[in-house]
Order: sequence, then structure tokens, then C-alpha cells
Amino acid sequence: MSEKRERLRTLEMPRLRPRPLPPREEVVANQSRHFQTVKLSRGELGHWFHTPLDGGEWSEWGKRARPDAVGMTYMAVTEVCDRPVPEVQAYRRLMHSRFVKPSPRVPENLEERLAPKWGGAREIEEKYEVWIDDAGPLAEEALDRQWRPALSLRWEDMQRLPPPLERAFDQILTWLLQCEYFCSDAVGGYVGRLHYRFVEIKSYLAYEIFDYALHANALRKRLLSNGGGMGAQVEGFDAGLLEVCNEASQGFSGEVPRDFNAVVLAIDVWLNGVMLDLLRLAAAGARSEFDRRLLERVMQDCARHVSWGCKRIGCYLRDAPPEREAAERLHAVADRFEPAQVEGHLLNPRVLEPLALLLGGGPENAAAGWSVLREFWPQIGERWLARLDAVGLNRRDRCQVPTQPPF
Amino acid sequence: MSDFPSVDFFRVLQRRMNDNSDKFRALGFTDSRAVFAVRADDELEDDRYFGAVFEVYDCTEICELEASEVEAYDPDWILEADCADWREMIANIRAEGAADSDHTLNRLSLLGHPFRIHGVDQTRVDVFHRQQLSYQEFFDQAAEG
Amino acid sequence: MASIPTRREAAERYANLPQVRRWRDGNYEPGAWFNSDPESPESPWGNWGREFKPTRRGITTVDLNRAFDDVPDQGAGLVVDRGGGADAGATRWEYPLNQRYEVWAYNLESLLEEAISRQWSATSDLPWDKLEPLPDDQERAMCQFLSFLHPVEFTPTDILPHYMMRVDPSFPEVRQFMATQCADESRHMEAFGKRMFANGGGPGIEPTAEALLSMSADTLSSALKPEDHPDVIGPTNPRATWEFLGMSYSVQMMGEAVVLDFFRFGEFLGRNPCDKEMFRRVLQDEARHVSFGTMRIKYYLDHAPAEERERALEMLHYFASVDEATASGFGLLINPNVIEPFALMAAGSTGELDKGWDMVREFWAGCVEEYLARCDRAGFPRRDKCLIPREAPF
Ligand SMILES: [Fe+2]
Ligand SMILES: [Fe+2]
Repeated sequence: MSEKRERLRTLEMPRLRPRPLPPREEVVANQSRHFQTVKLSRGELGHWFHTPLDGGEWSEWGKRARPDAVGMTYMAVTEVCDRPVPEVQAYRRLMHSRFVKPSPRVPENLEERLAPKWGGAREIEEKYEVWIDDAGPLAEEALDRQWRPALSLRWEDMQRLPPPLERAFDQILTWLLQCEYFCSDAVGGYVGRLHYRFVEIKSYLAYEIFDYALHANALRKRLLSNGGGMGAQVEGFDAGLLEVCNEASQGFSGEVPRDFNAVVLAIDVWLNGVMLDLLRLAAAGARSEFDRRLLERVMQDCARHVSWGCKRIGCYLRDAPPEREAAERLHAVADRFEPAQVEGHLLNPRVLEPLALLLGGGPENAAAGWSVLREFWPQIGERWLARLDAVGLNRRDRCQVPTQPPF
Repeated sequence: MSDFPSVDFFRVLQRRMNDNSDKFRALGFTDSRAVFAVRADDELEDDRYFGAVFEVYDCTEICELEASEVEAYDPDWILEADCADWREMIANIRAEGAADSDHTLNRLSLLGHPFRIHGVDQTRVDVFHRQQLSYQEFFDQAAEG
Repeated sequence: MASIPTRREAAERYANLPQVRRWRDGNYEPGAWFNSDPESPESPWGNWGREFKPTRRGITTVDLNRAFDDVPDQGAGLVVDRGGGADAGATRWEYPLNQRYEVWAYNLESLLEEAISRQWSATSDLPWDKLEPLPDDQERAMCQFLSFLHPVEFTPTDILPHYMMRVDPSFPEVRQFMATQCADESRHMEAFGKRMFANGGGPGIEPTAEALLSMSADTLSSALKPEDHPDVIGPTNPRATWEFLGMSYSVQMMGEAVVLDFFRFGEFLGRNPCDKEMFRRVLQDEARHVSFGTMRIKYYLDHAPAEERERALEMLHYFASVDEATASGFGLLINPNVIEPFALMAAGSTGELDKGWDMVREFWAGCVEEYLARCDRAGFPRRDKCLIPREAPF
């Protein structure tokens, strides 16, 4: 392993070298002289207490959101809030609530030091790159539909399966686990690059990352407790996607734009869409109610990720300025990964064979399973195209996912 | 408040916790060994110590300990106060149905008085914070009945 | 960039894949994943015969790891979860964090299960209908405090995924715990943001920008300019590229520990069931993050090879000195836009401010003491080095 091969490229993680520090006495003296210490020593209340509630630096005094039927939702808050949608030009801050007015006491020439464009949450700061129309409801749904495994999974209902079926089921879960990590890794790096005025989106993405981890956690438990075990690594399931994601992020290094929407297209719309479809097959072939329920839970979350992806791509196509050439960029991304995905993923024996075994009910009946697969397989590409139609990206004469199974 | 401090008092809380597992299930697992220390004061002649073990959604053990036994009981955290302060907290829970704003475990213990939360290992004491909703709910059971 | 095949080329390619030809010929014999003896070393299958009977907790990572005891010292470099198998020639990736001592924490499994079992919703698990109007000055103080917490709470989620993706999948527990923290912080941001609009207060003034600008240069003297220490000056330098260990110290063990104490103080000061419950919920989560950071550092120091341990200790002490003296330690504790609202809330009214300041000073001492106790526990005692004054300097 002499050559370093990182999968998803990221910044170098350097070894830090301690440097000399001033003596403790000096630091303590500085601390007690610090203007904030001096200010606090006076025991008086500062600007936050004296700025006028109306027309000063305070915002929206007197607002009282009332919980709706679900609770205190983002929707309940935006009812009363003056700035429900982040229309304003991005301010130069890395960590900031969009509801708070930027301090007039921060000199403009220091703002760039406070919040450089590259390396943090200002990298992706255009509304058309991030926002969606129903950001609040999306974040709420992500939270409301989060499952609490202690309440929603009854492990005692797990049933033993005949070894061949356990093996096939475990192989599918092993594939799924890999998908979960890959999605999480590919999307994760963007959370910290999105501007803070899109809190609902940042929030949503954090929940999406959590979903992946929750799935991985539950799948691992199922794999290791029912007489089977972790199966065989599926190589190639991420073919094309890995390259697209690495190009989009540029390893998150350097002062170059990152293409968040390429990753949304690849991970949320495509990969989660494929996971959703293949899980429907696996659930159809699941032999126990517990197994089916487990997959249904995961499917519900995949469907939410797909729906976020579609909304995002739809808004991107609608709102991006023409010179961005959003549609052409997205086409180019899909052109890259579609053939590799068909070959490495949709025709991967370690994905299709266990599905066929489950659907047929066992190795002796594999042919029946294969005929279900054959019938279902074209739907994967069809649904992908239908979703893209719906968001305004017509790929019907460009798409490389066959409409007929080659097998 | 003749029932406090006593093993019986804590046993009642224990029984109610174990009968209410749905409520505690919604709050999450618990995992700790605790000691409730009641300090002698005008109302109580000698210090009293009660051990409790919390597992999953249950309180699985309540016992009274001698001062000399506390260390061997190996508690993750010790919640300690004068008898009068314990009684005030319990009276408040009984009057209000649950601890009011002035009588939550966190508030009572934040500044180290009137209650003190401590232990030999800060990271084990942190379990008290990590699972605090469950322990608050445990004491709030004093209100029922 | 590889050229893109035409549709026809692609279709031909798909049709000629060996497995596709087999399937077309009606040969459905599954591959080695199915046909090999799962126990044989040549099999690409992972492990077999794993059984576990659920307990009242269901099935937990704690129990599984206790039963199977299969956490390796070094990651396998695969893309599959721990225990999965691979073909002999499978690519081995070099994940930057692939040694157990670099990533693991004592109690990791129980922290993970606790995180999963204690998830909650800012929307529906807080008694929003039990908010009560506060006197104007109190609502104002609360909202100023919340204006600080609203964005600050999310910052770990900006950072954590950066490390998650570098951890070898042989250590899924570590990745998963960090993901739970991402969700926790998102929920905290959400709770505080909503609370600002729920009781008549509204967002206050910008809380941290000026403090951040002034902090490092002012307290560490001219001997230490931020540009000399590009890796550690935290929020004023977003390009900070921490090591994972440094992140666990700076973010989880120091910054979040101070914030944990803020939450405890917030609960202490809350005047109605909704505010109380909100702070109680967030402090539970926060205590978990702090535990993870502390126990991870301890695990590292207990298990790293001697030479690396020495280097790590040196770095941690350096980090601690810088952080204590600047933004995430001293800086957080003397930010007037945070501490003054505390004093006012503790006082109960402007007329009683002195009482409030006394309480803040008491709080300060307790906060520093707990931090020092955690450093002791983690294995890098700071009692004679700490650059946060034991007593409030005001
Ligand atoms: Fe937090
Ligand atoms: Fe946190």
C-alpha cells in the first residue's frame, strides 16, 4: 500500500506542528486587559440590550409563532417571520443566522478575513445552487419520518431463514450497506460548504446523513444476528459515480467552484432511485415480515432523498442563470455515469443474483426469479427518465440506460 | 413527609418507573449506577445513602447503603443534598405533578448547591447529563398516586 | 476524461458482458458469493453463522461487539462494512484514518446506541404550548443568547463529515456516531431558531463576529498572530485543517463542553416548561458529544505507539493552550453578547444585576473545574497549564 489511494478525494490532513506560545503570565495579563473582560467588569449591559427593538439591530420583536398540528414547524415560524426565504444577497459570514442583521461594527475590509470565500460555508452561496421551494416542509418531513429503532423495530420478530435465502438476503443487505456509506461520504462534504442562510437545507442534509448511518446501523445488526453474516463486497456498484463526485468536489481543495448539483443528481436522484427500486424487489422477495418491514423503512427514506434531489434539480434548472448552462452540465454528468452504472451496478452479478434467488424463493427456482427481474429491470431506467422529465431535464434521446434488459 | 428518606420511597419510584415502560422507552435507554445521598441536618439525624441501578427502561435495584459501602457500590454519579432540600424537591413534585422550573435536577445541582452531582470520574458523572430526562422522569414519579 | 460511448456501442458492450451472456443462455448458476464455502479462506463471503438473540434493548452494537469481539487494530481497506469479504484481488484503499487507536473511543458502542435511542424532534417533542410570556428584558436576554446558539450549534456538522469519510469502514461505529452528532446539532439549531420566534422576542444582534475578530491576537499577544498558526485559529480561520484528534479536542471536548455548561445554565435559568425541556434535551445530546471527544482522546493516548503518543500529547497541549486562551475557551466565556444575557437572566431583573453577576462567576468556576476534570480523565492533565482563569476575571 505504498501508493495512497483515497476513494473520495478530500483535503490533505496535515500533521500539526506545535509552535512556541507566549508565557502563561503574559496570556493571563492579556486576558484581563482584553476589552471584553474590561467591559464585563463594569457589570453593565451592552449594545444588545440598548439597541432599539424597532429600527435598531434587533429583528422582529413581538413575533409569536403558534405551533400547528404537527408542532412548532418551520412553516409555523415562517408564518410570522419577515424573511421566510433567503432572498437577500449572501453576506460575508461563515457562521451566521440569516434572521440576525450583520453587525455594522464589523469593518468591510475585515469581513473577508472573518469569512473567506474558499474553504468554508461561503463556497456555495447562490440561492439557485441550494434552495428549494419547499425547504421547510422537506426538513420537517425528514425529521418527522425519522424512525426510532427502539420503537419501530421489533428484533424479537426476526425469523430464521433457510440458509440459501439467508445468504441471498445478506448479500443484498451487504450491497445496501455499501451504498449507504457511499451516499453519506459523497454528500457529507457539502454540508459545510453551503451558506448559513440556507439553514433548512443544511438541516435537511444533516438528517439525510443521519438516515444513512441509521440504516447502516440497523442493517449491520440484522446481518450479524440471524444465522448468516456479512456477505461479499460488491465491486463496481459506484462505477462512474465516484469519478463524478470527485470531479464535482475537486477534493474540496483549491479555490475552484464545487458542483453540488452534480452530486445531488448522481447520489440523490440516481443512486437513491436505484436503491429504492432494488429494495422494492428485495422487499418483494423477503421471506419474513421483520425483513420486509426493515426494507420498507429504508425505502421510505430513499424515496425522501430522491424527492429532495428532484426538487433541487428542478429549482436549479429553473433558477440558474442561462450562462451557467445548468441543463448541459447535468446532461454531461449523467452521460458520464450512466454507462458505467449500467455495467458496474445494474448488471452486477452480486446485486442481481441474490435478488433473483430471493424472488424465486430459492436456488432451485432461480429461473422464476430471473423472469421477474427481466420484467422489472427496464423500469429502473424508465423511472429515472420519468423523474428527469418531471423536473425539466429531458434525456430520452440521450440516456444510456437500456429500455430492454440485455439478459 | 414521613416516607422520606426511606427505601420504601425509592421503591415506589422504582415500581412506577417499571410500570411505565412506554414513557421511559420514548426517552431512551438508561445505564447507570447511582447513589442518592441524604445529608443529616435539622430534620435528619444521620446521613443516609440509597443505591439505585438503572438498566434499559427499568430501575432494577434499590437498596440502602452504609456510608462505608458507598465506594464499593461503584456509582457512576452521586446526587447529594441535605434532607430538607430533598424534601423540598419532593414536596414540589407532589404539589405540581412534576418538578417546576425551580426544582429540576439540573437546576438544583448546577452550582453545586443545594444539590451536588459528583463522582470519581467526570466522564461517568456525564452519564447523569446524557440521560437526564429519564432521571428527571424517575423523580417526577413521586407525584403520582 | 474517457469518451462517452454511443448508445449502440454501449448496448453492445452490455450484451457482451460475460455474466450477461450466461444469463441470456439461461445459465443462472450464482457466483462464488453463493457457491463458495463461506468459512473457507478463499471465499469472497465475509462471515457466517452469526447469531444473536435480542434482549430488551433489541439488538445493540454493545452486545454484538461483546459477543463477536471482532474490532481489528487496522482497517481492512475495503468499502464494505467490517466482517464483509472480498475477492483476493479486490482494491485495498488507504483510508487516512485506518488504525483503531486513531478513531476508536472507550464506550463508543454505548454512546452510539444512546444517540440512536435518544433522538428527538424540535418540532414535536417540546411543549411549545407551555411557553409563557416573559418580562421584556428577560425575553430579550433569552433571545440574545439564542441568537448566539442558533448558528453556533450547527458548526460541528460542517466539520464532522470531513472526517467520517476518511474513517475505514471497518470501524462503522465511529462513522455512525459522528452521523448521529450531525443530526443532533441540526436539531439544536432548529430548536433555538424556532424558539426565537415563538415567544415575542425575535433575533438579537450579531453575537460573535466582533469577538472572533479580536480574540486570538488580543489574548495570545503579539507573539502569536493567527497567520503564524494557520491550523488552529478555528473560526477566524475557516481553512483550519485539523487532525482528527485535534478536532475531537477543540470541538468536542473543549467547545462543546463549554456549550454543555451553557445549556445547563440555560435550563437553570429557564422560567417555563418549554424552555426547560428544550435545554434539558439539548444538554443530553451535548453531554454525549463531550463524552465521545473525551473518551476518544483517552483511547488514543492509551493505545497509540509510544512515539506517536508523545507527539500527540505535545500537539494536544499546544491545541489546548491556544483554544483555552482564544475563541472556544476564554473567548466563549467572555463574549458579552452571551454572558451579559446570562447575568440578566440569572438576576431576574435589571435591578438585581449584581446577584446575576455573582451567579455567572460561580458558573465560570464550575465550568472550568469540570473541563479540567475531563482533561485529567482523558490523560492530559491541564491543571498547571490551563489558560482559562479558574475564577472569572471580571
Ligand atoms: Fe449541540
Ligand atoms: Fe454538540
